[in-house]
Amino acid sequence: MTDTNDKVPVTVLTGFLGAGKTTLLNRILTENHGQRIAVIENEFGEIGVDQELVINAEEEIFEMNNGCICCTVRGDLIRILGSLMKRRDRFDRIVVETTGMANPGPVAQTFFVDDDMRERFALDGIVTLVDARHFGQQVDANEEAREQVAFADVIVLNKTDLVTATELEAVERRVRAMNALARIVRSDPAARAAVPVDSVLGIGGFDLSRALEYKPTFLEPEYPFEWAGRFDLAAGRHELVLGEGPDPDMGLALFPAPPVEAEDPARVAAERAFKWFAEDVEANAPGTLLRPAESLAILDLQGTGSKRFPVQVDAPGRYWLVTQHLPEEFALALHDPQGRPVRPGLERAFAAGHTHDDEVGSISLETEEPLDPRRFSDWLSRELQAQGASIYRMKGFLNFKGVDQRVVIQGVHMLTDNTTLGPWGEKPRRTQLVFIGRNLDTQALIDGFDACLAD
Amino acid sequence: MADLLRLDRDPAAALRETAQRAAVRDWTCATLGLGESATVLVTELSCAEPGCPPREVVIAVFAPHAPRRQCRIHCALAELDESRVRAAWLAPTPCGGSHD
Repeated sequence: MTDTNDKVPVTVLTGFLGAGKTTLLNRILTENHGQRIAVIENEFGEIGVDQELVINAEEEIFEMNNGCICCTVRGDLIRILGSLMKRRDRFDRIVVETTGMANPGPVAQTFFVDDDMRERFALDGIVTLVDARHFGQQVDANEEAREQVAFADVIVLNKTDLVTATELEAVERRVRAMNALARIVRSDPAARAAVPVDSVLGIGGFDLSRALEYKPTFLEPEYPFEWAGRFDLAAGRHELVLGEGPDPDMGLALFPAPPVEAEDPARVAAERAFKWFAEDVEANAPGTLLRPAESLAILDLQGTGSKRFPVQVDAPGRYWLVTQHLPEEFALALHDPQGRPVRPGLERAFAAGHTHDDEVGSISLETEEPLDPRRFSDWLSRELQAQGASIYRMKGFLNFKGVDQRVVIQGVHMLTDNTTLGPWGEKPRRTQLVFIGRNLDTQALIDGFDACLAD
Repeated sequence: MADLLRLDRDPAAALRETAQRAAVRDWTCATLGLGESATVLVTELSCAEPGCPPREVVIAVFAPHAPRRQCRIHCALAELDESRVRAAWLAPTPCGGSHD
């Protein structure tokens, strides 16, 4: 177990070629945040500001155990970090800028592998920049690009000015599917790599409680739809207009909102609509009259051009519209009887239960039943031996029988660290564990985890 | 209970392990005549090679402007003593294992 007091915080900046790492680094160095930063960079001569402590490094991969990715660290970092500590009074934190083709695993493991390293440095977070325009091509073609997303604590969507809003949503969904834990930050379209410095420095990415704070949809269940919007509708004939989209049809449900406001009305609406989306119904051709109902409607959107569906609302009031895809994907618009667009007063995007083609993904395990610490430890040891090379990151809170403290665990490949966060107190005792990795054996993880419950 | 989690780890055992690691560093520095600028990494790993002991210790030396040196000793960290570390570094092939 380790304590983060008095350790030097280290931020690792990754991102594929051209993603904007150096631009972001220059922003960090020029912002007035009052911190002195030592920079270790693997790409030469691109820092555009006077910087007292810039150290160029040449990537030196050190495999401690032949060919085992889990026991591979960066020798160049070990050397430089050792020499930097002799000048400890000259900086407050360290930023490591990696090359575009770098695998973040050995970089992260460098801070876990040795007690001495763990005592002196705290890996504050891995920040990955993504070129929103070229992301799809890059992750399809390069293992390194996928790993950089999977390892990240913060993902900065950069070059957002080069894509449409719909394309940016699609990039964000794909990023989210690969890494359920990372905080996603969009850069300002008006200036490249423009994000608040406190969103990339001092993020406590390896501090799970803060990761949860930043990611409120953590472990949120998946739904068979992506969006819900609540509209105040007048009585009369409305019109639903949809443009061409990625699918030949789309499911939706339009139904009255409950008269009593729930604490989380969007979630309540989603829970109501959930079962309707399993219904097997005929598609409605354009022009078919739709009415609010507690059921699914499939809209046939084949062919070119916009499709229009009249919607008869008999009773004025609040209605939920739940759609299989995001409205932007089909340029969905709802018009009132006077032909004016109606906008939702409340809306929510949901994590859709799509099957993704990416081999990199996240698995969340959760239970309120206490775990047996011995069973859990034995299972996790076995699982890390079996799948450690494929498990990039792991984070979780653990609720053990007979242990009054909240235990937090995190890991990189086979290396793990755990600490306690104080007594559970009034907090609900619950285990939450997330694995991010490549081609993870989901069923084996679920079955093994279930077998860790205490008697 | 719980080796990986070390929830009930004996604090005295943890201190002994830290002290042993520091001693291995000191013995390495003394054997190789290293100054303060060198970083010595001491890591105990599981060894899955057939016929090898289940634990091995990897010692690596990172010094500025010098090639990395490493040494592999097939035993647990707790079993190491000065003579064993010294002998491993002074052996003709300090990697110390046929599968390195």
